[in-house]
Amino acid sequence: MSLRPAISGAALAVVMALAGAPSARAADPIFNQGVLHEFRIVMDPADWASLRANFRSNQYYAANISVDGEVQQQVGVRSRGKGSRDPNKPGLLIDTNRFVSNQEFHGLKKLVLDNVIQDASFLHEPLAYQVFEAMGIAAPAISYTRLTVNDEFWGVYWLVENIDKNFLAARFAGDKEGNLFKYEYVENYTFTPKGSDPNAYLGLFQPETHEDKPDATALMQFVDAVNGAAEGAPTVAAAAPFIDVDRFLTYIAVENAIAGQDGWAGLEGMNNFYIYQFTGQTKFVVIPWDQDTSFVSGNWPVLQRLDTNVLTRKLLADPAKKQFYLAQVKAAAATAVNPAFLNSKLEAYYSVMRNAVLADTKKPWTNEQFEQGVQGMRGVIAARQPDIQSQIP
Amino acid sequence: MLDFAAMRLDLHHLRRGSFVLLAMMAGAPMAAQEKGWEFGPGAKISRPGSGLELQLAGYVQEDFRHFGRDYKNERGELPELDETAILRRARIGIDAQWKRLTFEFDYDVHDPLEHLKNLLGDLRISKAFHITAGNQKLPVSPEWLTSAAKIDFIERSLAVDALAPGRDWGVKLSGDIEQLTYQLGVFKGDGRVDQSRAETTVAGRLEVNVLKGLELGVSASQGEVKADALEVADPLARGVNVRAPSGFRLYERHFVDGTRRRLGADARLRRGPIGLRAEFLRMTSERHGQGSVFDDLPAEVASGWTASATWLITGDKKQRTIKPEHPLNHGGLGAVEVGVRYDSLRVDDDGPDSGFEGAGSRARNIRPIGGQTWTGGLSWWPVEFVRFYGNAVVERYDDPLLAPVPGKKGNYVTLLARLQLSVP
Repeated sequence: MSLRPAISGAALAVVMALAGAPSARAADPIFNQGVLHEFRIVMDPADWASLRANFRSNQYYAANISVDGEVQQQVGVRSRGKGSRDPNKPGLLIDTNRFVSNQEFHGLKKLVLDNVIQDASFLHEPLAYQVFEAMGIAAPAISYTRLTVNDEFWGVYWLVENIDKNFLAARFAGDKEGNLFKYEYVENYTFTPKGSDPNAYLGLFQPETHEDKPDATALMQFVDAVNGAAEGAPTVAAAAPFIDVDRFLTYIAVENAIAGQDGWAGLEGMNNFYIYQFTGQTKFVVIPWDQDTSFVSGNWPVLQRLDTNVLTRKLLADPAKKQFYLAQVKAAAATAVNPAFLNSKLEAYYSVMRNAVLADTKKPWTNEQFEQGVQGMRGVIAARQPDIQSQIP
Repeated sequence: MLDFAAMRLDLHHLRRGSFVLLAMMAGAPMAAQEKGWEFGPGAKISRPGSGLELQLAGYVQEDFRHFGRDYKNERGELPELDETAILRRARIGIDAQWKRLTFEFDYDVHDPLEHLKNLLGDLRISKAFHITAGNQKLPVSPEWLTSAAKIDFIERSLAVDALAPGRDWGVKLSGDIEQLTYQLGVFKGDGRVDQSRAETTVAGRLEVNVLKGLELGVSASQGEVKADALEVADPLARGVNVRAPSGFRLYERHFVDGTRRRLGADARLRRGPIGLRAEFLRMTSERHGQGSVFDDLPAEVASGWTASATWLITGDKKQRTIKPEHPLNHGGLGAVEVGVRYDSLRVDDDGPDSGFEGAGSRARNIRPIGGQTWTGGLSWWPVEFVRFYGNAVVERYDDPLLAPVPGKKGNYVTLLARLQLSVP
């Protein structure tokens, strides 16, 4: 497939404007990607056994943690994940605030320990977030860590910044009191109307702020406005009160530039992202999450599945917006989805985590599969930019 | 600095509560117009000759509180605390007496968890033998058995608030024998609307009047707490709930199952304008099968005590209901009382202090929590039916990590004020 849009100077200017320095959080020592961190958990062995036995449960257990020797006492630890919940190598959510009021660790109330059981290379998510950040899309900070529980090695994890009020305040100039929703796959949903019952939406978009009084009003209006508008320019106008259309298209462009299976237009409908409604506004912004199924192939249509989602389909029916979108895909390739940007990061990550991953007996991969995964990632990176350029000359 | 804006009068709440009282008071004389009925004193209606008396009862309380800077962390955030202005209680009720029978009904229009307070009938067979049946307070703690309108301070003491049983349906025998007062009952639980409710509970209390104005008491209760079944998706922890006067919850409820036992001892002295009180309470709750892997855990043990002294500086007599000798409407000052209270509470387990000490709700080795409060109080009754309170409360926590500001040891100061209007 070959597409021939003209990339306007304005689009490039937008890319440059959106692109920013890595987030301030990335400068935090615990998210330093240049070292393999040491995350220790000390808890009642019976609690750990229970957490593993009941890995589908969100029951919190008290524990003391330390990261690189810095101790935090009486945090809450629970199993986490959707498809990645696992008893053998549990994904963990650390809530510093669970048993101790207003306790924080490095300014964070929650930390995610991603068990990396869906990515044999251990590389997809850190590299994906690098691309989002390079394109000006706020993404969580992430680093590599060894995990020990009661001095037993439980493998290599990603230490990921949780998307919460602290994240919002840090990325959106202190704005943190709006409505934050987490979208995880529930059904094959494509931004279609769900009726007048807010609960129909709240079953899909899980409230992460104001959980006691979730407000899906603007979200419902957003869906209704988009679905009620004619394709193309009317949809652009209808969506404008609810989302920065260009910023949203840049987000979508990154999803396809990095060949992501999940996201706004995921393989089986929408999956794995956050959407935040700014305080006192109807405007939303999309935040990437759980990118371990990105970079699945070097050859990936730049318009992959965008016709399956109501919002992306109707926006891209506007020729100007489609042109902008394609320009952003191309800009992503030029800026970040290329060997010059990603290879040095890949090799740095590899050197940081390789030995520990090889010693990780909890991972569901053999060491050979891990090495193949890393090699495969090198191939995807090498192929991705030419593939995009061939589709958008 | 006081935050007066935060202490603003919640007029809506106050109006609503006052309306209830006024309606009650207006209704009484209308009823008295019926032939054969007499009205008064106060909101009382009686039918002479029949032995029937009806007494309207009730009160409203509007609370205000201000939290000191101690509660704010470095980002200026407060932990979860009580509201700064709230209609605390709006009780209406009726007390009736007919020959040897008395009847009591109290309803709180404001409390969504427990609208029905007391609903009971009492048959007086003799001074030494009463039978009381209905929804009532379990006879354990004397402070808890005292109406919230008549306790010495705005908030109940830590130990009583956390450990005393609530109201429940049951039958109680009671009476006075010489200098002894006894109460013994069987109840459906130990707190009809409490998350921590036990099943059938036996409770009893014995008081002895050793000297004029000096009463010593002991009390106990025992019941079985049943944990939620294993199949329940989100089981409720039914252990002790500890809440400081500021509203700060300093303890995660724990899962318990098995026998819950309370023991109490108390002393009260009233001499002229002086009142002294002391009370000790201890509650143990077994934790059968409540470990993370459904193992038995050491029992949860909570114990606390309180001591207080009050002085009616206007010289009025200290009694259950303060009646100013020189009320404001007769040119006097009313009654003014000052008081001070200390109380302390600690929760731990009775197992060995080994292994990981956790704050979680299924911890084998419970990380102990403890707190103390000093309360200084001032009450003014311009007339019998109006009371203004002011309290300064200093909270201290044993474990700085589990304090309102994690890691910050020291005092946490709350100022409380209350306006209370009662039915005459």
